[in-house]
Amino acid sequence: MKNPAFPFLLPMLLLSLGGFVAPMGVLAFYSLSAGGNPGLFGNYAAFLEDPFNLWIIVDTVTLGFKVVVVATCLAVPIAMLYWHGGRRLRQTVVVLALLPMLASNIVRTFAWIVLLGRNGPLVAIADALGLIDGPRSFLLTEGGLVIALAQIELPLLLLPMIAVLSRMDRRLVEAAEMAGAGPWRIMFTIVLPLTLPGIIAGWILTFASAATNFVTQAAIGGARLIYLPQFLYRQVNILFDWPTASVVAFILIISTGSVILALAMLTRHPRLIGNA
Amino acid sequence: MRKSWTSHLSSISYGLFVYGLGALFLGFMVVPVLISLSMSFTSGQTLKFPPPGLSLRWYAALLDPVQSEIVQQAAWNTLQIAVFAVLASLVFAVPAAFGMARISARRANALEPLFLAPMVLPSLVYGLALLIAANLMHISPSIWLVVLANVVVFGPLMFRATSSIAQQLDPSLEDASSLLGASRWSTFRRVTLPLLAPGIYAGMFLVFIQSIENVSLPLFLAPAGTTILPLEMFAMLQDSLDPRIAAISGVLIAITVLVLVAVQRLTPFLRDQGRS
Amino acid sequence: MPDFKMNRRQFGLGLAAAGLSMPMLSRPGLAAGSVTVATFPNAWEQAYRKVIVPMLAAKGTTLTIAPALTTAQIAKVLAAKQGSAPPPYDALLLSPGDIDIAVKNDLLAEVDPSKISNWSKLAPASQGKYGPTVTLEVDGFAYNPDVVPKPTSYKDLFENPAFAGKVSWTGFDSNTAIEFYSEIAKVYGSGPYDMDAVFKLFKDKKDFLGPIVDTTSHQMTMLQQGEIGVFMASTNNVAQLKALGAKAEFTSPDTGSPAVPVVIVMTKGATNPDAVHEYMDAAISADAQNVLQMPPTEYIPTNSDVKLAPGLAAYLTPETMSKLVYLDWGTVAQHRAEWTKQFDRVVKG
Repeated sequence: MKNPAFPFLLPMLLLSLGGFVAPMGVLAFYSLSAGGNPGLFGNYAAFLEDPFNLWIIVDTVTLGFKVVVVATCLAVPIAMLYWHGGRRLRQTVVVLALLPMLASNIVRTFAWIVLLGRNGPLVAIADALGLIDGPRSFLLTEGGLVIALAQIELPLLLLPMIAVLSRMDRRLVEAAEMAGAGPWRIMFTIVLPLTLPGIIAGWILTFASAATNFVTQAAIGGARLIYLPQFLYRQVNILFDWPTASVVAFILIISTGSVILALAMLTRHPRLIGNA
Repeated sequence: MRKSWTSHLSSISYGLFVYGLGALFLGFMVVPVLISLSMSFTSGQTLKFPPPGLSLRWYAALLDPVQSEIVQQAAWNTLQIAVFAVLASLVFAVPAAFGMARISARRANALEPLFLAPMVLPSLVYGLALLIAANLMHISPSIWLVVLANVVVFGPLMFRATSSIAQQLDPSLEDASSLLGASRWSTFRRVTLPLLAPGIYAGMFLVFIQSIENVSLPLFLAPAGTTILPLEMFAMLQDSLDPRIAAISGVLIAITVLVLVAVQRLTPFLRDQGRS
Repeated sequence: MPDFKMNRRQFGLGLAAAGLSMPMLSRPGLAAGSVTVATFPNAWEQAYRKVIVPMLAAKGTTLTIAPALTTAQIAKVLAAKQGSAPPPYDALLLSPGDIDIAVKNDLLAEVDPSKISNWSKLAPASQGKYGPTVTLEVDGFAYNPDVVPKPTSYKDLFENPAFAGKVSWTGFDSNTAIEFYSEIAKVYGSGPYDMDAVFKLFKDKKDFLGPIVDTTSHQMTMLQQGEIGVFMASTNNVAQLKALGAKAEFTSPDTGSPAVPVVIVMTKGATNPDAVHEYMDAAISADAQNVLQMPPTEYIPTNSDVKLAPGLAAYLTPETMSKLVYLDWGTVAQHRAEWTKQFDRVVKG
């Protein structure tokens, strides 16, 4: 590669090859060779043949999507608040956007147990709105898990959006205003499209994090909702079945990785770059 | 110019969307953090919400060298790991994000999966893979191994946060700089890096927080006898629902807010670049 | 497990850089008369530093306490073995289920009782081939008396309407849970390993099942918040909750309390076996156990010279102690993966 950009890519490339590909190669060898299943891909076949396991894969990817959708609905108004805000408001939004990441996972999860519990405020609100009949607990439900994950991962979506918005030129919008465009139109045709690279970066981070966040999945989702990371955790920590763990790890990389890849390719789509 | 009633309606609904929903969702994002914080000021003996009374005793306990010697040592170890991880991510990921925006989309699409793959793998599995691989090479667990793992797993956060901005940079700026005789490296340093700054700051924050939070990587890769904060917190929760866990989050939040205020005075991170 | 040695050379160059030693945090020294032992983090770590480290220091042995979760203990020793390196820990702290895994992977060395002067003070059940039992976890029902009446038997939990939806369970990941499922299998099925009876019970009595979660700490939180009424816990869990002002009581099931030993074992290839024996001897000595059975740790003593402290005696009545139930963890290990798989399918929501 004679490209002048190559020296900039080299350090990360070496890190990936030495620090990631090599150890994962060991794991790949494990996933293929160890264990009692015949054939080169015997371990994979054994896992994928079971419809129960296939559903776990589907559930994991779906969970990531659901969290991304909810987080996006939450993030757009906040980002627009930032966009319209003056200096003080912008600073406040940034600081508040960072806060959820600062409370440790353990404490955050505890707070969610309180919020989603039988005596918690979310149940009271849903009851008052007539969404549910009679008090119950949102803990250990998929809905509760999606809401909690959306809150926990929200900064991962907001930060890249804010980073892009912070250096966006307001004159573009002023020109549109002068041409008589309404605020909704400006948001949908100018501001959000220009923010799209940040949004997609945020989707990638949020999806990856939500789909692999073992701690929250386990604590809020409980043992009835099973996702690939919990499955992995168990194979590694409880059953010490490292070959199966390797198989599940590669299946997780491929299933969630392909979603992320599609998103990442989207940012380089010629149409999109043309817009931006 | 007289506005039609539809345009009024549009302004009102837009205002509600931005300021009403924006503020509401910002509140949603912050409430769980406030709950965690309020528990740290409990006068009771356990993490409980609502706290039976208020006091600073758990902060005092955290600072007390006799009661919290282990926790303080663990915090110090964790801090060192996180700082090294952030510095190393800067070296690897930022140039890569820049280089990625300067190569053809086809090449970028081929290379990016490699850089993003660590994100979709639960760190537990990567920690195990690196432990096995390192031992095969006769490298025993060490703090440097933990740092390496943190860079591999969380470096992509820095890469992603930075590349969303790098993709929007106008190459003509750099061309202009080169025409004026600046070397490629000095162009990168003087022209590109300041423009990337918002993404870099976001990335530094993400890498730092994730390195502080992560249990799995140091669990497998730290040398025997080196204790780290998230592991101690995990045990504190299991042993006794110890409110010091919430106090640790409180300290982290206080430090981050202070750092942000300081940074804001020194750098353009929070400054309103779009206007002025 | 396959032998990895032959593939060693195939793997990357980049890792070499990671082998640099750390100037600021070096690995504990391997001087003569020093020994590095793994314990559970925090409470255990702190107690052993305070009690056991000075006892060995008095004999001129430097003891380094290395806190680690069970997984990390086994994974690090196993990985070191695959790389033909000496084990990172000289001794581990394990429960029988994990000892079984360690033995299968040939990670442990047998101890020499003649080098442990307190060995004869242990009950025969505590004199393990790979090391002494230093304490027992005694389990039963933890309940919140504001939420439910006092439970007495497993039938209560599945048939008395007062408990419907109030009893929390964990999956087969937890050793504590497996003991209880084994007890339930005795009541509702043909014997301690008849888990099909348990699965059938879980299917038939769906309304009686409360939250099914992953860990005991999660259950402690929920009990404190009034979210659940009963969970399966150790006397230690309940003592902690109570000492901290939470509403919680302990009671033994009518069929007896399950017990899990906690054992110090020596790793194969330990750098200083004599020091490891000294460490084991100190951990089972009456001096150490007299201190460790007091709050905040309240570890149940295994040395027969130690008289039960009043705090512990409140939970461990002579009747409870005479009816302790032990599980054969070798049998559990054989079936664990299969049971886990079945359980997932039964509870999947």
